Amino acid sequence: MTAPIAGVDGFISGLREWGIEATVRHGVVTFVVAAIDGAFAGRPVEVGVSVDELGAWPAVPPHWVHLPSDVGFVRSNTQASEVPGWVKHSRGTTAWGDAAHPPQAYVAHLRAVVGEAA
Amino acid sequence: MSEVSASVAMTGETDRALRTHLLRADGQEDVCLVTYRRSQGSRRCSALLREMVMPGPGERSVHGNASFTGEYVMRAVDVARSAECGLALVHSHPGGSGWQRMSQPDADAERSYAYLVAQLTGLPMIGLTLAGRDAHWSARHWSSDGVASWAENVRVIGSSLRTSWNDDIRPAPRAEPSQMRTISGWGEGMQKDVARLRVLVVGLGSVGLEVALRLAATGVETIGLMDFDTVETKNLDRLIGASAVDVWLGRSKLDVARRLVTDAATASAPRIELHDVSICEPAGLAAALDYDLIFSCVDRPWARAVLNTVAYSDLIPVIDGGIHIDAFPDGGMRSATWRSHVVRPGRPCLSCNGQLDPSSVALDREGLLDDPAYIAAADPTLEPARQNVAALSVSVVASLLSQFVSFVVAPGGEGDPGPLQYVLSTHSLEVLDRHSRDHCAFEQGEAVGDKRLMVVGRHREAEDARAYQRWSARRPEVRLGRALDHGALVVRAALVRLARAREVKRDSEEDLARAGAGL
Repeated sequence: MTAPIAGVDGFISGLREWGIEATVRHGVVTFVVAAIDGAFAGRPVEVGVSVDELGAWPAVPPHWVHLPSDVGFVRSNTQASEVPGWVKHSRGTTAWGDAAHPPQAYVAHLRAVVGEAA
Repeated sequence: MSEVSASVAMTGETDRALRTHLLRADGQEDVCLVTYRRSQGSRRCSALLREMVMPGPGERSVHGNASFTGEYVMRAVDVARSAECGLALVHSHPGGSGWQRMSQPDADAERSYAYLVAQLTGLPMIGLTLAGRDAHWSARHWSSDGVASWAENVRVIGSSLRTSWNDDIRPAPRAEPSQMRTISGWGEGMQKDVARLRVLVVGLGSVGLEVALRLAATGVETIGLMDFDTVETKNLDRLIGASAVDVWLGRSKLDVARRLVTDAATASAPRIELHDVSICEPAGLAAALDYDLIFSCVDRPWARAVLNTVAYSDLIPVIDGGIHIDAFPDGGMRSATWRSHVVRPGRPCLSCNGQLDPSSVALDREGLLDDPAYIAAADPTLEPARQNVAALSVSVVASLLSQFVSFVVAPGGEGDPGPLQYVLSTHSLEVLDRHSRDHCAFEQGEAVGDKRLMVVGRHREAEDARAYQRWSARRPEVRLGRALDHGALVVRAALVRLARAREVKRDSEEDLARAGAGL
């Protein structure tokens, strides 16, 4: 049985396999996803997840979604992001654990989150 | 707590494949190289067998003592290095039984490769011998300068836990008169196996405390207890044996458990090891890696994620379970269910089994599941269920211990039964049809050892609890109370020793009397 590449390196390399380049700044892995509906539909949106939350990736997904402060929600549980000018939002995944390609599943989650943005 | 020991573990699947290769129909010895990963605990280093590198044509000879070529070793070293593994040299003694010693040719052969393998893989070479008559394993870790350190045991984690013991390092404990009824249930040989297991109980609440007591009464010699919490009044309906005195004196659950478990122990030299840490902290994980089997008596997602990881990454089976009380919102009970399962390779992990939501681990890790403000703003259903019923928690204990007996003793040759669920309202026991998911990251990390997922970290709740206990212990009234309580315990311990000495003397006298009477 071959273990998947784990941790933050596995997360970043997994994104790269799907054509998404990520960078780490202020302890947050940031990259761009395309919103498929909602106020940002058709526009690229920067998103991020904390490096601290990626230690057990892909078994345990990150919870907080970091977004620029101009991407807001009608209702959201928020905390300050480590990235200046950003806010992190409490957005848990559901039914996690059976994706053949976890980065793809997590990006799908992020696109759904961004799709709810006001 | 200072000695350093070594061990080897493998899955039932690896054991089967090795036996198929090594125990030949022609009765000759055979040999094989296997990659392994290291699992380093605080006191024990375990080698976890992973991939067999089968000998190719001309790479080994099986007439008499099996021999092999340097080319075979170098090919296996390449496989091991590319997988960031060490290398184990495995051979069979077809006519042997029990823990095998090395003949001079065996020792010379292993020693001759120890330096090379250690230099090229960066890990010590492991030697293993399989006894053909009873499938008993023996093992040693070789230093690069050619010194062998014998392992204390070799564990095979299949449908049951099969442990080969090194009697020199882990001698079988003496059967005690107080264990007579237990031994009559499964025999003296099995008692020797069960009693020698190093068992860790994580979480000393209503379930964990009772599990630890039963293990001690069974005669398990080495029991690890892990908890960082303090006894509170709300615990007293389920922590049987704890009292208002323990609450007043700010006693940790660990202290209470030590007192009760020591009293319940039937082994002649019980060793109760205390771990005032969280399993989610690096020190907690390191301590856990020293044990052969773990009881998970915690209900928080983070702790269960750590244990779920260890069950696969470090081949340490975890017996887990819990209770769910289904209460009506306005009071009253609709039903209750309790579950138990052995988490190990070949069985679904806690996440696949529906007992762990990975997405809640991050919240627990940040302490947000205890933050009313966060829960109110996020999702009120996130609040952990608090209901419990003192009269039912013992049912969870019974279910966990049944899994333990099935897994370790394998009555009738049957191992663990798989995930079980008892439904109180219908009084029905169900074997749950749960399977591993195809892409489960926990299970894919099988036998990766120290390359496991980084699931531990700083646990502020545990740090706060320890700080509170230190503060509490400095209060004058607590110091006085503890001194009085300690005096009472010393007197009681002396009485227990006296009672046991009288028991031994009485048994000896009875033996002499029987001998004199020709009985």
